[in-house]
This record gives sequence, structure tokens and C-alpha cells, in this order.
Amino acid sequence: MADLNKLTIAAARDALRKGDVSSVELTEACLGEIESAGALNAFVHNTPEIARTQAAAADARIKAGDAPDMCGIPLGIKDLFCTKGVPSQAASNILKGFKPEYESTVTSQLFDAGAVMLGKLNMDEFAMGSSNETSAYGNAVNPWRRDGSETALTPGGSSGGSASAVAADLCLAATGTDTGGSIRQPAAFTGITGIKPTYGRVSRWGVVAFASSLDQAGPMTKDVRDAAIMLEAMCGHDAKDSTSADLAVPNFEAMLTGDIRGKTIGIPREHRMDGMPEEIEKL
Amino acid sequence: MCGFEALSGEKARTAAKACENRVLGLQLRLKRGALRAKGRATQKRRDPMSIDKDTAAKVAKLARIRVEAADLPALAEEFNAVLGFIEQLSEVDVEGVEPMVSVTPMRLPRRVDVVSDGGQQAKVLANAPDAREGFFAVPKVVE
Repeated sequence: MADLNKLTIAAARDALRKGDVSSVELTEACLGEIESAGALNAFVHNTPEIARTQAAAADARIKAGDAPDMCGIPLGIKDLFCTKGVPSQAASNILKGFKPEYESTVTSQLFDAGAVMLGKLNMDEFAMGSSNETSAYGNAVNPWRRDGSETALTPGGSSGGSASAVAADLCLAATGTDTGGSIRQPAAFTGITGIKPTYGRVSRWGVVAFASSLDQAGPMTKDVRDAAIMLEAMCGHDAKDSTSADLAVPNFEAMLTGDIRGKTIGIPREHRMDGMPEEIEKL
Repeated sequence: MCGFEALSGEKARTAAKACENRVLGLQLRLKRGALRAKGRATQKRRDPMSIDKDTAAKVAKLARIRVEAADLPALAEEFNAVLGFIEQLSEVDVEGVEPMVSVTPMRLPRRVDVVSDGGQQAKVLANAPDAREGFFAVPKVVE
């Protein structure tokens, strides 16, 4: 199969289960792509050894017939998540050299489900920014360009590295976090899918806090189906987060009927602010 | 971060920058000082020019941030912009609206008051720049 790094989670999952492709192959394709995409400055700490070990373990698990949806899927992890033994510095020099002795709940759940970590992703320092220009690692760059221009564009922020990496197919999907738009805005800037889950759905344990009563982690993916699959793996009650919602997690993917008849979409009046470009005002 | 999703390109970047600098950066940098000076600020909040340059100087001093005298009026103005922003909340009519503390009706969970974790001294100290005899070692601050 060609261009394995361009697969969606759903396509990769089905191919893995059929035995058409291995997680090691998927992972190598992504690692190779990351090598040649340094200009995007999306991945800031690469973890190829961890990725290869996890991929091999995932392949063994798939062979044994025990394969959750995320098993063998190569992901990028935002630098805001604490990952055991791997630099987790929230894109700040204040946390330079910090290697957590523990794993965040979200990454634990993803790894327990068999997901593969390719490395840590760029972001605005401590998630405070909307353009990924406040990072100690330097700016993350949007893989998209304006027609006829080579000007580097912002991928948005604060999950700018995650957005850029997914848009450029450096990984199949990435984790992001959103306090006031930090998943949704960069997803929009790079043409990918992102969702900020309802507060309490995803554990905040092991995620460097920005505003504790608003922070939520969520998936950043290539389409809606992938967002549903990955979100389900990230969700769930966690006793280590006192605001975690003790609610059963539904099968989000099964809820994708494609039928939105009868739904009402609300747009807050306040979103029509001064200085809005006319083409957006028309929408 | 600050609701600029609907804007694009340069505008969003400018707006985002302005937002960061004016609201978040400032709030964070001067949070401690501002909290200590809160009494005074709250008292005078109704007044549109509630923070003068003397108050700004006091806040800077409490936050242990050196601000040149020439920069104080601008800093006071930024404080007032922040307070003015917060002041908008009082314009909202909440008559008859039930307070909402969570989107899901839940109370803070409780657990039995017993030790649930521990014995991880080495891990706790693993990231300390300096650790001695099982403690964090910090530079001497009291003569």
C-alpha cells in the first residue's frame, strides 16, 4: 500500500485487522515523513524508539485478535501532555529538561488501546496563544500556502503543531487541548477536524493546566469518523480528576448516521463582531 | 483561545496577539500583585478610571516587577482595560437564572480519607535540580 501516512484511522484500522498492513509499516511511513518535514517545526521531540516498540507490540496484539480501534495507530502528542520519560515542557523553557515520572490519563488510555507515539508536538507556550508563535521551540508552520505565494502561514494555536502534523500527514491523528479555541481554531486553519469535548468527558490529569475549569483535551484528525473513534478512546471517568464526569462513554462512531435533519445549529450573535470580512459575514 | 475562530489570516493573528498581550500575559504577570491590591481595586471599580499610576506602581512593586515611571500610565490604562472587560459581566441580566456550576449535574466526589498513594520519594525528586537526603534543595533565602 502506498502513502500509508495518508490513511485515516478508520482505513488503517480496517487494513490492520485484515492483515493488509502492519503497524510497524504505518509507523515507519510516518517517521520517514516526519524526517523530511522539519520545515513545519511540528514535531519537537521525536520518539522513534518508543514508536517502534509500541508498533511491534500492537502488531502482536492484532495478530492475537485483540485489537481495539486505536491499536497500532501512529499518533502525535501535544507537548502539554505529560509522557513518562519523554520531555514534556509545554513549549516553555521553564520546563526544559522535565521528564515526567508518570503518564497522563489520556496518553495512558491511548497507549493501553495500542496507539503508537511518534513524538511530541509544538504548541504555544503553556497553551497561551492562537498562532503557535509563542513557543520556546519557535513557530510551527501551516503546510498550506496561499495561491501563488510561498509566505509561511500560521497553523493557528495553541495546538498548532498538532494541526500542522495532521494536515501534512506526518501522523494519522494527534491529541490537542482546548481552553478557548485551541483545538477548533487550528483545525479550521489547517482544514482538519477537531472537537472540544464537553467539559468533564476527558480527564485533565497529567495535562499542564491553563484554566482548569475550561481545559479539555480532544482529538485532531483527518475526518469526523476518525474524531469519533479517537475521542471514544480518550474519554472516560477518572478518579484522579475531580471534575471528570462519571458517565458511560457511548460508541461515538456508531452514532455517525450522516442524518442531521431536525437539528438546529446556533451561532451566538456575539460572533458577528466588528471588522468581520464580508465573505464570512455572508455565511 | 479568545474567540477569534471566525477571523482569518493576519486579522486573527493580530487579534490573537493583542488578546494575549493585553489580557492573559498581563493578568498572569501581575496576578499576584493585583490580587494583593484587590481591596483597593474593588472599592474603586465603579469609577471608569479606577486604577491610577500610583496603584499601578503599587501592584508592580507587590508583583516584584520593575516598571519604569514613564511606563506606569500605560500600565494603569491596561489595568483599566482589563477591569473594564470584567465589568461587562455586571451588565448581564441574570434575574431568575439559576446559577450553573457544571454542565453535568454532579457534586464534587468524595473518597474515604485513607492513604491512596505514596512511597515514591525517588520519583518525586527525579526532576529536582538539586536534592539532598530525600529533600528538595533550594538556594538559601534567609540570612
